[in-house]
Amino acid sequence: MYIYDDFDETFVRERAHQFRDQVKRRLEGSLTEEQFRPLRLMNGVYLQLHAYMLRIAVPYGTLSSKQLRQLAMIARKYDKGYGHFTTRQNIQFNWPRLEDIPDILDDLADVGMHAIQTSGNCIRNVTSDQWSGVARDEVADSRPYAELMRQWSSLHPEFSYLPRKFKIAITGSTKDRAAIAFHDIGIRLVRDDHGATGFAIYVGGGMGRTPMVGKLIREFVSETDVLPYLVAILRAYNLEGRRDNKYKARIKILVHEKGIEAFKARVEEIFAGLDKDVLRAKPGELERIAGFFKGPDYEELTDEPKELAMAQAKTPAFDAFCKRNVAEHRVPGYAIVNISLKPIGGIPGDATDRQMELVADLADQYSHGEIRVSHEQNLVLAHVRQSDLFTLWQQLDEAGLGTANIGAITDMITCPGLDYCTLATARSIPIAQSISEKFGSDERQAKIGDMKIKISGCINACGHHHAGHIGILGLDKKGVEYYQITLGGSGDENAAVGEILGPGFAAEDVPGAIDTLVNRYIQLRHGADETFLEVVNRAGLEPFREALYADH
Amino acid sequence: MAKKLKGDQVFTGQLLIEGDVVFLTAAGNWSRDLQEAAVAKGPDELARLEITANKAVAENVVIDVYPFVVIRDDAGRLVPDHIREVVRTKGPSIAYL
Repeated sequence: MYIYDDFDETFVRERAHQFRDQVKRRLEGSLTEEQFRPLRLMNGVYLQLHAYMLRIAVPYGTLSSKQLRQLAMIARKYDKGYGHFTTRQNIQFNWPRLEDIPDILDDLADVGMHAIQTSGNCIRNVTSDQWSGVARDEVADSRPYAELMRQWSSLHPEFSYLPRKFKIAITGSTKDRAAIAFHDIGIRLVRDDHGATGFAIYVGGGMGRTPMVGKLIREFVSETDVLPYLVAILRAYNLEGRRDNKYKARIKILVHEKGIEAFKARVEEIFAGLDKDVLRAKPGELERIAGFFKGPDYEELTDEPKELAMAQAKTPAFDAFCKRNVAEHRVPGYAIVNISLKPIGGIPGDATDRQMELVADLADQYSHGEIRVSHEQNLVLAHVRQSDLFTLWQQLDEAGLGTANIGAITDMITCPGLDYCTLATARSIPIAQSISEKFGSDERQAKIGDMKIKISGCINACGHHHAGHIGILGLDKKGVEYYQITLGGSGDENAAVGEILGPGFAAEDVPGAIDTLVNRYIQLRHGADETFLEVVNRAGLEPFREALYADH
Repeated sequence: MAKKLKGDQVFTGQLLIEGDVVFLTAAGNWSRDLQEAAVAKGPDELARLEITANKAVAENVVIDVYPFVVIRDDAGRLVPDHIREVVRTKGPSIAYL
């Protein structure tokens, strides 16, 4: 993975030092809260419902074991012994004291980490496919480009005061595991007829109160032109995006109001006038960065070693883990191991300090010291020998990290909701927990198959409910929480926004409502291979609506 | 602040240094216990609390102050009348370690 050079190292240290002084001045009273607020937000410090919250950047979701161990130390020393992995592949701590945060930033700087680009109206942490570099279906590894974009976008002088926040996601695969269609800019690596790598660029996707699926603005942008093209899009947005209304300030509104053709024409006009040589990465830079992502020297192995098959046959729970959580690796004899942070009845995305340390140790032992965070709030060990899978699983399982539910009904994206978030209108974690408990049995989950439930505690949609096969949105009606259910959303390469089924439900009725929808699906499907989403797309919402509201 | 109140109200804020949720007491201090909060029963009382609360903001003791409506439960204890303030007063409703 990428190692900071002297420039990055100095930059992060100086930034931590600068923030220490800002906190000092705030605590002494020479800065008011109004003056301090934008400064703390530029360093990932929010004020949440019960405490400050510190959001730490995990660029494109990649961590070293050393970094994860440091996060565990921070959780233990300054927080309540746990952290929460987010849908932007970051981690946040829910209980830091303001006076401790300068020390935390120093501790982060010790391992090349920081909290820049995790808040504010700037280009946020660039996210990517958690299987980058190892997926079998990949065109090319997206991480070198994501790193290039990190360097380009960090404190970008022209784009530090955009009309609103700006999120970029990149995938190197035709299968979209990074939800690129729901980003301000979504990027998919492609190859042209001559085999050259380039980028298909989508613009104007997003969630929130006005969900939009991103629109293709250019089918192919060459490797050398990608930064200038991003500049052209951001400049068009920075100049023309609305600043009069926070709720209409994202690029999706500009693209929608202007129309993709007119927006594209404006971007192309700006692009044509750019001095591209100045904006391009300097020659050799991309190759230098790519050198960090070559990956380990894999051994020459073969797929499905005998001991693996034997362990699977002998231990059904391990077999279930292999089927759900283990994915094909591009190198024979290796596997991608997805570690679920969704234990049955647990809090989605949370990990304790000890779990973080264990995963760091296991990464050192079995996966070249590298860990990935997925936008679905799980962790990944990307280079595991298939012959090591059983031993690895045993250790994970012992620590409560062996839940075999990746992509299943209990693997829900869930925002912190009203239990932590000051913007939330309803709780989301308890809803996830009650659904998880209702559907937690292995048999039931296996019968249901692939299913994505996503839960948000307010209209801002941090829990991606618009992209849920079943989406749940928590709202507030005169001080009482209630939940709206949507159907048919998808965050993959066939991105779609879910549609509202009907009137909302009280919290205690939500698991029952989901049960009704699942049972209807089982009745309607043409065999176990037809997924929930496929049935919704084939049969439409009506049969589900009828089932859900028959008694009303 | 002469507008009609929706009910009895208390002032809340968060401690600058720790971020902890606190409530303004009759003595002008900030307590972590809602039961110790000063309850404003009318607009004049609320206005007086607001002056004290804003002074504490100016003195960098607390941040983000605002009033919310409270009612009394059967045991006579103060409880917020809105779910947001209930969760904020009690802490996360989940077992969070």
